[in-house]
Order: sequence, then structure tokens, then C-alpha cells
Amino acid sequence: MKFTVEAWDSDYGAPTDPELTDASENVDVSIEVRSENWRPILPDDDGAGDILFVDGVRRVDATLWIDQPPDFPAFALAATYAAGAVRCNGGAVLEEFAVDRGLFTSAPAEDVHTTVGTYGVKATKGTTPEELWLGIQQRMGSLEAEVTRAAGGAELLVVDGPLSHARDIDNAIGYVKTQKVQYLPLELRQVLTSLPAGYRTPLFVTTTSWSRYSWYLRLANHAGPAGGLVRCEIDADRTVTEAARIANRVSASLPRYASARHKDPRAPQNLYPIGGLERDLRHRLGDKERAMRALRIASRAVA
Amino acid sequence: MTEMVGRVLGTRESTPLEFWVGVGEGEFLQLDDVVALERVLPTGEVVRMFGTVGQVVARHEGARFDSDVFLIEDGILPAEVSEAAQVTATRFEPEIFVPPRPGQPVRIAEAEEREQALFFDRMDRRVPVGLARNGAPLWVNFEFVNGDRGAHVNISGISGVATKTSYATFLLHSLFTSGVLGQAAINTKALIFNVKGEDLLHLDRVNSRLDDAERSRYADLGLPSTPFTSVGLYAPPRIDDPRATADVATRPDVTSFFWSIHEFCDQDLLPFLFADAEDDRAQYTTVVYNVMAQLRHAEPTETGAAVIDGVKVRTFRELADVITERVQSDEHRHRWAGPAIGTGTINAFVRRLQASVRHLGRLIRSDVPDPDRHRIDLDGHQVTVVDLHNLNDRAKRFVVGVTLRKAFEEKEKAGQSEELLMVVLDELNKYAPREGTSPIKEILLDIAERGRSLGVILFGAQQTASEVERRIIANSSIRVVGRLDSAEAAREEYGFLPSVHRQRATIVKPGTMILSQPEIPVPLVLEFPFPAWATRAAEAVRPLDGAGPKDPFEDL
Repeated sequence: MKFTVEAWDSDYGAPTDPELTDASENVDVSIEVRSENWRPILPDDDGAGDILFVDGVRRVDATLWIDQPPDFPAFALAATYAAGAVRCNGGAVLEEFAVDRGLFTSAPAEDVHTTVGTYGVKATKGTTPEELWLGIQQRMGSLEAEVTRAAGGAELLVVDGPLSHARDIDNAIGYVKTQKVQYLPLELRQVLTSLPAGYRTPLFVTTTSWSRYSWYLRLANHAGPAGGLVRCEIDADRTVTEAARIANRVSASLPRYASARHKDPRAPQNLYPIGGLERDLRHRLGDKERAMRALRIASRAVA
Repeated sequence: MTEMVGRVLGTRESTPLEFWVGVGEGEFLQLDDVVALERVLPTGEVVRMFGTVGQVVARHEGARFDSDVFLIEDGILPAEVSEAAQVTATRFEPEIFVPPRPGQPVRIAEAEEREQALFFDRMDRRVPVGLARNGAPLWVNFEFVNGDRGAHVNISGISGVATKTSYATFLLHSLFTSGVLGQAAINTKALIFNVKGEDLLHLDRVNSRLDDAERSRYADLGLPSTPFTSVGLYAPPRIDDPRATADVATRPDVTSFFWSIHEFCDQDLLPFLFADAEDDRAQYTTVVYNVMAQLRHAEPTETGAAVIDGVKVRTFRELADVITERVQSDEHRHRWAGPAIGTGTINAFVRRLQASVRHLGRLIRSDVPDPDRHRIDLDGHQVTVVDLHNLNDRAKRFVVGVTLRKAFEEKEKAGQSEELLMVVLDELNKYAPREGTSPIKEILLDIAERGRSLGVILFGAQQTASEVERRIIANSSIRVVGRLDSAEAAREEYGFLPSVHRQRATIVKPGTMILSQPEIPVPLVLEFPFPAWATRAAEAVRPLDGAGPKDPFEDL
């Protein structure tokens, strides 16, 4: 039996979902080159000298039950989340960051004041844990967008994850580490799996609620079907030529920031500046035990 | 009050004895910096805390691997450089020993605060002992030098760096010229034994290498940059020189010293000839003391010679021969050597005695006119230098032992401790080794233990304190360390140095010393100025008034 060991630490899952959702129907692969001419492209660019990396982290501090007699208490999550931006232009400097706390629930609720800060009510659409988590994710996304705006422009602005929240910001690029969706039709997947390190695929356009240019890039040679593979996306509100120029610039810039296997459990996709930023932000979330204790004290104070 | 340089860290334990300070952006702290901070107690009382920086560390925060430094410098990984300083507390005012709280602002202590931090404000009588890195003077409490609360200075350091005696002479200069002695300065004396080259025979001559920068360092200390003004110089006579001129190459105006045969007999000097470590274990000690007792009966002559059992003795050789004859003859042996002493023991004694003739002959003699002129006179000058460097070890021990005993006995008789006698003795390990006993070691121990109340202050120096009698080191209030070799620095004798200072002692450059005194809980790292006096003939500015060649016909 021949097998490969995934480069990512299994705690983080795999960079490629074992069952990719096939979305190739909504994809146009013939915009930069015709599908029959798909070949790996070596980006012809020196790379950007001024890049802003944006990321966020989140943590659920405690699960709360909000009294609503005579009914069964309502479910809520008290969470702390943070977003920050690191500028790499010779030095890597944390340029901007923000930390916020929220009480995520769909039930009627009030802000909870504690010694570590105030958990403001953030209404969610539904009551299930998944919906509450999604609420946290969205708030964190908005915070990332806020931080990105506050950080000022850059030659490239790499947002960790899909572009959704930041697509109106100039030079913003969505950087997707994990592949959950299969965008390419079967006949082009060979180009993807044989992509050499430092090469990108031609552009393709995907359309969901909005349209975006997308391409795959191999950062480095690593084991596994998606070893060292990432997908980047930019807003489709520009010409193909312009989009190709950006794709080349991004693809020439990012491999330099790819992390080494022993330094990051999600190497190489988790880029050094983002890994460093995440550690820094997690530190800024404060101590979880303390947040938990503060919430307990606050719960008694109300009673 | 100066601006904040940092804040007390909360990521390391903060104790009343030691705490860490995070150094603020755009600020720095260096080793030996003196810092101050305040803590307000819940009662409203303000505790002022002072300390000195013992260690400073800088590191990358945000880096986890050693190789991250390259990523950080290449601008790939975000990280910050943090600097933290370890502070050893020196003083709490009032003495409420609470820890400083994390986050409290820390400032550099300057001027009055610095004086407080290092207890200089409490020193009523203080002596400048050197300059801190920032050029500010450092002091020692004179009460720990003059015997009031402590006495004696001990200096350790490897040789070749030549700072031990330089520093000892600098301390003498500071004591004499800083004004700390007051009225007693006139009658305070120093006795220096010169063990290496003719280095200390030019203390009264201006050093031509002293530049304006060094002069200003003296000025900073409040000291004149002048050589010693009153110096008496003594050196052994040349071997086989009937006129007994001093055995010195670099200056003519040195008085030769020796003891008359009668003094040798009358003052019980014989045991000082047998002061080696091996003598201590030998059987013939009884013979030495019996012979000594017999020599007391010697009759003096006008020239200082002695008549022993009717024989006139003018030289040490004659003396040795008389003693040899007496201890070996059947007629006198019983009286001179002692009853029931074996021939072997007597022969061993005789061998020693005869062997010492070659080296001691020039020091014990009555063949030169006017012997009083050749007696070491400690009262004639403020500083008396006794040169030993041309003598072999046995002769060195004899001179040191006899000179110290005489000085000590005179002090004992005077019973006056206000007017100090300061004795500078290098190579202390030779005279007071850790193991064994000898007459010289007894005297040094006496000085170390009782000298304090008699006003005899020992400035002892040695390469390695671990080889010197413990009680002598233990009785020294002021301990100074220059460059040490790393194995030596690890020994328990340097327990007064915190580990950082021990490490530093292995790398300090000449002119830098680490000084510990009882009142300050941390040692002070200090620099002392280049000697204002010549430390060798080539440095001396000449001619000096009155220091010209001596009248060659004077003795005729």
C-alpha cells in the first residue's frame, strides 16, 4: 500500500476536504486562457514590497444560559475576538489591531459587564450552536475589515480567508488555505495536481452572490493532495488583464512568506506573518480562565 | 526627578530583594545603573525603593525558534525586541520590605537619589574610591576603614594586570588627600612593601603619562592629581657592598636598610628566619627558640655589633658560625640547643641557618658605620616604601615579619588608634598562607584581629584569596576584586559577589575594580584614575626638586 502523510497537524484537519463540493458548474475557466490551453503559469513579477496581512482570531469564553421563565433558558455564547494587520515592507510590524467581546444569542438579552470588559449583545439569526458560531465568525470578519481600513492602503492586502468582508477595499486579496469546494472541471484537475512550486493556475471566475477572479498557487512542495496549495481570489470588478497582473504579483510575493513544516502545524499555507499575527492576537484575547471567572462573578452580581 | 526608563515586570517574580524592569521604548538601562521607584501602601505610606542593575537581557518577543531571528529581520515574521533589567534592591526607605508592584514606573536615580540608593548620604566620613561608569564618584564609609566599625582592605586579582598595588596606592592617595582624615592626617602613616620591580619607588614623582582627561577624573573625585609628597624609600643593601648602598637601579636617593647584629639578638629576630611553611613542620623549632633565648644575653658594642659569650660578632656569617659552634659543641649544646635534642635536629637547624647567610648577610650586619641611619623609620615620612623585590622568599619574609612586628609593637605602646598606620602588603598568600603557622602569619593575624583597635590597617593583596588565611580575609571590611581567573572566581571566598559580578570579574579590564563594603548590599563596579605618580622610572618627570643625585662623597 502506498500512502502519503498530510503535512498539516491532524488537529487542524486537512487543507483539502476529503469530499469536495463540486461547484464547477458556476465556474468560467476560459477567461485568461481557453480551457484546452490550461498550463501552469510562472508569475512574471518581482513581488510586492509592501504587503498588509490581515487576520482574526476568536475564542468562546463561556456558554451562558439566559433565564427566560417560564420557558427553558436560552442558549448564548460569550466570545472574545480580535483582528489585526501586519505590514511587511522590510520589517514585519503589527500595524493595527482591535479586540472585541460579544454575547451571541438570538434571545432577548442585555450587555454583560465584567471586570475583563463588556460583552455586548450581538444578535444571531438562529439558536443552534452552529448559527451562534457563524455569528462570531461574521463579527470577527467585520472587525478584520475595520482593522484593514484603519491600517491604510498597501500594495497588496492579504486577507486570511475568503474576501467577502473586504472586497470593497483596494488591492484586497482573499487567501484561502483550505479547499472545501472543487471549482475546476475534471479535465483541468490534472493541471492543479501537477502544479510546480511557485506556479499558479490560469484565472477562473466563480459566481455566488458576487463574482470573483480566482486562481490556485503552489507555495511549496509538501505532501498530500493539496500540499502547499492555496486559492486566492480578487473581486471581478476589473479587466482580465488587470486581474492577471495582480495574480502574478500575488503569486510572486507569497511563497517567500510560506512557513516551514517544523514551525507551523499548518505549513506552508499558514504564512509566517499570519502565524505570528495569530499568536499575537490570541495573546491579546487575554486569559480565558480569567474571562470565565469574570463572567461567573458577573452572573452572581445580577442575581 | 528623572523620567521613567521602564516599568516593573509582572511576568517575572518581583521580590523586595530582586525584581525585573521592562525597559521602555527609546530608553536603555545598563549594568550598574542605579534606579529608584516608589510604592504607595494601602495605608497611604510611601515606600521608596532603590537598587542597582545587575543584569540586562534583550530578546525577541513573538519568536519561538532560534531561526526566527532571520525571518524577523527579513521582515517576514512580526516580533518585538524586549529589554528587561534585573535590579538588586539596595535600600528601602522606610524599611518596609514589600515587593515593588508590576507596572510601577522606574527611573534612573541621579544626584541625591543616587546618594541615597548607595547609602552615600549616611556616610558622615567618606572616602572617594573610584568613579562609576557614568563618571560619578563612588564612596566608602571611612568608619569601615579606620577601625570604628570595621577595618582593613583586601584586594584580589590576577597578576600581570598590575592593578592591585595601583589600586592600593590610589586608595592611600585618596585617604591622605581627600580630607577625610582631618587633623589626624599629619600623623597618619603608610608602610608599603614593594614586591615587584621598582614600581613603587617613584611614588613621589609626577607621572609624565598623566593627561588632562585623567586629571579631570581626579578632579571629579575631589582629589589632587599629584604624587605623594612625603615618601621615605628603603631598599636592601647591595650584596657584598662594604658601603651598603641601596640595591636600586632607577634612583640614587634610596636609603639602604638592615638590622644590627645586636638588634637581631636583642629583639628576638631569629624566628623570622625560619618562617617558611616547611619550617613550621620541622622539629627544630625548639632549637630556634632556645638559641633565641641565648642570644638575648648578647652585649652591645658601640657600632651595633654584639659580644656573644665573649666573642665579638660583626657580621651575620660570624653570628651563624658562633651559633653553629655553640649548638654543636658538647660543652654548650645542652644550653644552646636545649636538652635531649638529637643531632639530626640540630644539623637540620644548622643547615637552615647557614643556608640563610647568603641571603640575609646583607640585611643583618654591623660592619657599616652609622647603623641608625639604616633603620627603617616609619615616622620620618608619611609614606614609607620598603623594597623587597631583590630579596629571595626567606629574606622577604624576614623583612616583612620584623618590620611589621616592630610597627605593631610601637602602635601597641602608643595605644593611639586615631593616627592610623596603613600597611600595604601584596602576595599575602606568601606571608599568611591558608595552611600552617609561622611567626609572620601570627603577626598578620594579630593585625587583622586587633589592628583595628590599635589603628593598624592592613591593605592586603593577593592573586587568589582562596590561598590566604581565612581569618585575615574575614576581618577585612572592604573587599576589592580585580580581574580573576574563572576557576578562582567560582570559589566561596568570593561569596560576597553575586553571580553576575563573579562573571564580570573574569573580564574586567585594568583600571576597573569591584568593591564590596559592609553597608551596601551590592558590590560597586568602579574605575580608578591612572596613577598621578610614576609607577616606573620611565614615567617619572625629571628632574624633581631635591631628587637629584646624592652627594657621592656624603659617606666619606
